[in-house]
Formats: sequence, C-alpha cells, structure tokens
Amino acid sequence: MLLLSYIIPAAASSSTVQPQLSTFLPGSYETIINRYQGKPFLMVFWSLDCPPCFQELAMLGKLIESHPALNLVLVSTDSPDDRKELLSVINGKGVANAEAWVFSRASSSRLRYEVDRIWYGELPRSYFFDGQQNRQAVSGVLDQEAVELWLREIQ
Amino acid sequence: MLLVSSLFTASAMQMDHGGQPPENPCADPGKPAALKCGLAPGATFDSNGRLWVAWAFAGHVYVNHSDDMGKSFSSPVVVNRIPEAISARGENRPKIAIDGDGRVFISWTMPLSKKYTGHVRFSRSLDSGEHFSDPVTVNDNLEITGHRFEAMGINQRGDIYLAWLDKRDRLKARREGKDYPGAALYYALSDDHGASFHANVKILDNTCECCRVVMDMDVDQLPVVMWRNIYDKNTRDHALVKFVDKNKAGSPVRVSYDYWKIDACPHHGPAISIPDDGVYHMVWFDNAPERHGLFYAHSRDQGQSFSEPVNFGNYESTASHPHVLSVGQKVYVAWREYDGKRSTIHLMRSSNGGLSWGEPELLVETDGESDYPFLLANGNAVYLYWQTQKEGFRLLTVDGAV
Repeated sequence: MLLLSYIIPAAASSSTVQPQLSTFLPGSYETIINRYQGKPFLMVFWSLDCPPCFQELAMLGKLIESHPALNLVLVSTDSPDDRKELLSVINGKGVANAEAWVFSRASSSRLRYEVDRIWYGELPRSYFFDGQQNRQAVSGVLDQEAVELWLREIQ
Repeated sequence: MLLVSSLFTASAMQMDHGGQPPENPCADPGKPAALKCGLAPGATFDSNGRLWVAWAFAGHVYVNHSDDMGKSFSSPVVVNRIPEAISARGENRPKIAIDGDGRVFISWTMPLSKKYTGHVRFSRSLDSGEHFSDPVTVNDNLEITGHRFEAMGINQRGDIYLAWLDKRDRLKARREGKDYPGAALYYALSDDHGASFHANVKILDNTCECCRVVMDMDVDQLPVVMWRNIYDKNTRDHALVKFVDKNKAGSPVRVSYDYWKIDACPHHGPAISIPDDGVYHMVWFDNAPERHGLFYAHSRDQGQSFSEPVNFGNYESTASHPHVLSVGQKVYVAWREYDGKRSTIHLMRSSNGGLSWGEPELLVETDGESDYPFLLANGNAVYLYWQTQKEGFRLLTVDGAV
C-alpha cells in the first residue's frame, strides 16, 4: 500500500481537479485565521477514521455547489502519509475547491490545543468564523439548514 | 514487505492520528520487538505478584513479564506467529488476563480490509506464557464488518468473558434498507479455560460504535460490562449491564445523564472497578454543553441506583481517558491532561469508597506522545502504568499498602 501510494498521485492528477493539501503544523491555525481576517469562513476538522465525517463532506460538497462563495477550510487529522486517500475523498465528495490541510506528524494533542483547548478530538468538529473574530464550535455532523442559515446571516 | 509496512501504518501510537516522527527508532518494523516500542500495552499482575504486559509491534502481539516491578522484563514471547493487523492505539489494545492456575489469556482486535471492520481474536498459553495457541476468531459472524473494541474479563471460577461492539445487525439492517444507529453489544463465554467459546450472544442494539467497552467481575463472579450507549436519536450516554447468571446478561441500566447529543466519534470510553465490597466504581467522559468533562460515580446496589456524579480534572487542559481502581474502601482515579507542551497524569484518591476525594496529584509527565494511563492492583498495592513515546513503559507506585 505504501509503495503504491507513491506512484498513483502523479498518474491521477491529469484527469481530476487536484486540490492542494497543505501540512497543518504548529502555527498553521493562526496563519489561517490571519489570512481570513474580516472574512467569514467555515473550518471543518475531519478524519478518514470517522464515518460521520464522510456524511458531512458530502453535505458540504452539495452546499458548495449552490454557494460557491463559501470559504471552506478542511483540516484532516490524519497524517501526510494518507495523502492519496485524503485527496481521493476530497475529490469524491465534491469539496475539491476547499482549502485542504492535513495534520503533520507533530503531536496531534498540540495541534488540537492550538485550535481549541476544549476540543477533545471528537470528529467532525466545525468552527464558524463570522469575520469579526468570533467563532462558534460544533461537534458532530452539521445540519445543512444550519449552515445555510449561517450563510444568510453573514451576508 | 508490503504487508509489514501497511500493518505498521495502521498501528501509529495513541488515538492521535499522526504517524510516528521519522527519527523515532520504533518506526522500523524490522527491529527486534521491544516493550519500549510496544503499542498500546495491556497489563496485569498474576496472583504471585508478577507483572505481565501484552503489546503490539509490527503485526504481532507480544507478551513479557517482570518480577521487579517493571525494572527489567523477560524476553518477549510472540503470541500470533503469523503476522496480522492489530488494532493497537487509543481505545483498542491487546488485553491480558491470567487465571488462578497461571494460564495466560490474550485478546485483541484484528482490523480487516474495510474501514471500521475487525474480528475479535483470542489466544491462550497453558504453560505460563512460554507458548501461545494459534489465535482464534471469537465472533461467530465472519462478515467483513465491525467486531471490535473487545473487553476481556475472567472470574475466580476461571470463566472467560469477552464483550465487544458488533455491527452484524447493522449490516443486516442496511442490506434490508433499514436504518441502524451505532453497533450492538455482544459477548461470548468460555468455561473450558479458553479451549472453546459458547455461541455469541447479543446484549443489546444501538451502542455507540467507537469507544472502548470495559468489564469487571461482581463479587458473585458474574461480569458487569460498561459502554457508551446511544439513547433516543443520538444521545451518547453510558450504560452498564450486570450478568444475572453465568451465561445470561441482565437488563442494561443507564449510568450517565449528561445528554451528549453528537453524531460523531468520541473515541473516549469509560472504566469500571468492583472491589470485594461489591461497590461499582465508574468513570467516564462526556462533552455536552451543560455537563462536560470527566465524571466519577458509584453504585452500592449493583447498578440499581448511582451516586451523584463528581466532575473532576481540568476541562481546559483536555482532562481525558480516565481510569478507576478500587481496593477495599480505597478508590483511585487517574487521567491524562495536556497543557500545550506536556502530557501529564493526574491522580485522586478516596479512602471511603468514593464518598469524598483528596486533592488531585500530578503523578508523572512527558513532552512527547503518550498512551492512556491505567491503574493496576497487586494484592492491596496499587500501581499505574503509562506508555510514552520517549520513556517507554513505566510502572509507578500509587499506593504501596501492605
């Protein structure tokens, strides 16, 4: 499996939108926050190990079709070793246009702690940023209507 | 090579999803197996005070023991000679139990080709851990679905119980186009010292599907099993069941009313300990908006009623993965916290059966990755073990009472 993963990404990139997958390091959270200053965005943490996350990604994929202006940041808590599988899921769920990150091999406790001290690692975990330095955290699969309501509120 | 490398990827330490850093010497599956690199160890003392540890490395479960409280260990003995995938992080780990005659029993979960699937595996040693039998699969449904998160318990009669989260009914429901939240709780009993198991028996449907199941024996030598359950549509509170006969579970009872409604994987199971006085001591984690963090409660009437849960640990420091052990009137609760740099293990004690508690103590720390903490009894003495990436396996004396 490991061996194959080195070969396939290069071959697969010709036919599909190839999203960037950046490595989420200590400090990355702040970088993202700073970049979106003044702009509302939705940050979703997910993992290949989390069945409900797939449901959520599919919902977001549909949502993004009707709301292409949605700023969506996806952060996988897996590892850069899972790159191939992550990209395949991101493509398959229609969220290839989202900004995509994956946890580095650094301590995931540390990465989580930088994001939120009271996030216990449950997934999916979503943060709604209103562009005015407020964020709201939600654990568990998001309700599409709730996200749409939020989108109307921030417009 | 392919097999070995994919196994190793699957067994990264801890619930933390990141892999091992490249400089980690444990990252080389070709190295000889050593406890320091062992993933997610399970441990127990036998009746002679010998410490036994079972752990996973590069597709094998290994067992070794120590006669000097963890200062030195015997050479590891391999349990499964043919390598296989082994779930060994966070909520899943090899379990070890030893009966009064020195037979050693090991269980673990073998993940299958599809995500969230696995078989419950079992092996035994009849010669005090020198050789182990070829592992058998305990779940009698062999579909590629979940049979995972097993708990193992053994009573004074030598009956061995395994209880686990099983998705066979979910698979069946899905095939019929029906909805089936979560998994089911199943168990199997062996009353011939692990030579065979009775047929699998379902205890109930719709449990949470990704938190460890735990078990201890009541004073009547019948198991009590605790797990995170699904109530109503999506409320993931805890439940327990006490067996009413050797091969018959009673009615499940709800333990916690934290109302954590979440369609997600908490990966955060409870713990239970039942000392000689028959009091059930329980700890768990919930993250509901109103009631969150770590909780302790006890039951003095075999789960008919429960004490008001005590909230403990520093919620803003990710107080997590609690464990509980009671010996007589003494109760010990350990958990892990993280302060942004260090992972720390904390302990609180009660000397009156959990009616009141001393101030939490900081027991030990590490600045790298770490496993969950576990408490162990050796007679009346109490120990805590903790596997960390930097320091390896550590056994700490919590109470050296004679």
